[in-house]
Amino acid sequence: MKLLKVEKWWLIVGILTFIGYNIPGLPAYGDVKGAIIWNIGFFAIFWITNYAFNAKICKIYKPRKTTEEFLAENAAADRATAELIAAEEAAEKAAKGRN
Amino acid sequence: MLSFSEFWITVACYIVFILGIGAYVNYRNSKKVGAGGLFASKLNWPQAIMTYIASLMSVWLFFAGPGGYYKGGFVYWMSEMTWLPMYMILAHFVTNKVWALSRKRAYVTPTDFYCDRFQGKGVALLRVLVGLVFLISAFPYVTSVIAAIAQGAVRVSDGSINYGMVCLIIGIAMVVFTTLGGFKSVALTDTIQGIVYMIVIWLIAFVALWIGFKGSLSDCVKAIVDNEGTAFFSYPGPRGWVPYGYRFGYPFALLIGYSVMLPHIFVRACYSGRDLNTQRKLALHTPWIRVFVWTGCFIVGIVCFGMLPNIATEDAEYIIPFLIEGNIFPNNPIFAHVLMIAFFCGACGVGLSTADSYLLSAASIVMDDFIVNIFGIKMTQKRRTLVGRIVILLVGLIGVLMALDPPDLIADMIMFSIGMTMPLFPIMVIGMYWKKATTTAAWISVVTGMLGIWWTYMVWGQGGTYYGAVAMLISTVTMVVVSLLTYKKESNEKFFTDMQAGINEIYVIDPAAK
Repeated sequence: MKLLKVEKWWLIVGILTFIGYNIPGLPAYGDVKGAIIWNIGFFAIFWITNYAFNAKICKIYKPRKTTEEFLAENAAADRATAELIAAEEAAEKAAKGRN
Repeated sequence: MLSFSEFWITVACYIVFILGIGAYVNYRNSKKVGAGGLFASKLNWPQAIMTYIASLMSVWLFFAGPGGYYKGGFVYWMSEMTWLPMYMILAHFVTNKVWALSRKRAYVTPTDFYCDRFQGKGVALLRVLVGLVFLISAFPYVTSVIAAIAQGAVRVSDGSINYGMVCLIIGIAMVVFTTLGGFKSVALTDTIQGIVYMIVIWLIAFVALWIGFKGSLSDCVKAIVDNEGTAFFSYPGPRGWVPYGYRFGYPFALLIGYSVMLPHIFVRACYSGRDLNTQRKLALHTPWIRVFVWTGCFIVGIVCFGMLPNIATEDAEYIIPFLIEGNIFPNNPIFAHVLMIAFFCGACGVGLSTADSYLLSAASIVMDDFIVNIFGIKMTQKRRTLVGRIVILLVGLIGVLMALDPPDLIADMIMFSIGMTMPLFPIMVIGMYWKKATTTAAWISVVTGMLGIWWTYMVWGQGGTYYGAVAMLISTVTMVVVSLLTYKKESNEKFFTDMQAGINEIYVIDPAAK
């Protein structure tokens, strides 16, 4: 699976943000102001970047099918399963009959 | 605080409620063609989101969560809030792609995906190992939930209720409910309970804040600073719980283990969406819903810290009953009773919604991975359902028996389960994206990953800080090195062709994108 440029950027930004948030020593132990700024700042970066990249990706990767088409496929799969179960039951009955 | 009769009436009402849903779903499924099996079903987006969220809530919501924020403070809460939108990365790059293929392959257990990707010699061993890891991770989870509910019962009744009796009754109700209705009934109760208990946790938060500080969060903060200093708002937290290592290890475990790899979560995130819209809404909405839920817990934690700052660590998981009993009851006894009942029902509800999901996953692993695939016992669908129900019964009873001898800290048990599943993540991702990843490397990586878990917990003694992070690194390195050493042109082309076809079937990629 090849990744698009925007996908690579999403991964890079996500990983770097996570690493950045976890730099040891920052903010210092006991530093209240530092802890509040650090956490609120990274909170904003995490949330803004990920929602922005996700929105961009959803625009690039458009759904090929509508919900109705997916549901129709699911229903077909369900019917096939039901037929399989019915066939298995019939075969079991036939086998019992032979015995 | 609750009398013997109040307590048992509450339990009886709750059990009737969940068994009623189980029976209803069972009845509906019997009337409907192809309504989904005992272990799998396709869900619409509200159900998919709520069953995912409710499965995560578990005993965190009413026990470990508020207790954790009480012990860890503001920085502990923020360490959870920051990374939550990264779930969207996992959804796009991992879970939605697994989902695309699962539509073609009808996977049931998480192991199915691994054994579809990794074929040939060693695949049976891989199935056993991955299945065992997922299965073993289930027991601490189920056990901790039942134990937490029973310990909660003892607290809310001032010790007048027998712990073992609650374990047995709640455990049996859970097993019967799961056996009766299967995946659909679990998803339905998760949806209803999830919404109700989000409201309950916020109700408790508001009432506690009102009674303690006349509804003013700033007064609560001021009281904490005046009485206990500023440690609650800085690293490493008021009780030294959140050093830098923990700030990394804990959110990382939650991102990988808790959000994707726990088997009941894996099934929900990767297999259960009925369409692409459901999968996307799951990724889009669960982060902010999680913020909403855990912020309610945080408010409870901070208010409790403001009012009762000296609760012992082992009692911190029971701060809600402490709060109701010590602070709300003297002001308004009737309302305190109502809240205590809501708390206990909530604890049962969110706990069981996780435990039954886990139970279902564990039983499906025993059934599909071991009985059908490893031992090769062929069964009709009808018989599979019957045997599956018996397996749920057995797995559940083991969980109940384990809960009779409870752990000291519920959070520790849950986090161990989460850590255990983490080394399996790189095996899956490398397998998905790298054709040279081999089956031999996959099973060796499972083994080295589990050795890494053992080393982190037992030798290094840092399991409570790094969880499965080091083991995950070990399994990643093993996976790459052993793959390079053992790679031969394997017949895995079909997997990649099908995966690409699955992706092409659900997406139209903008031709202008590079």
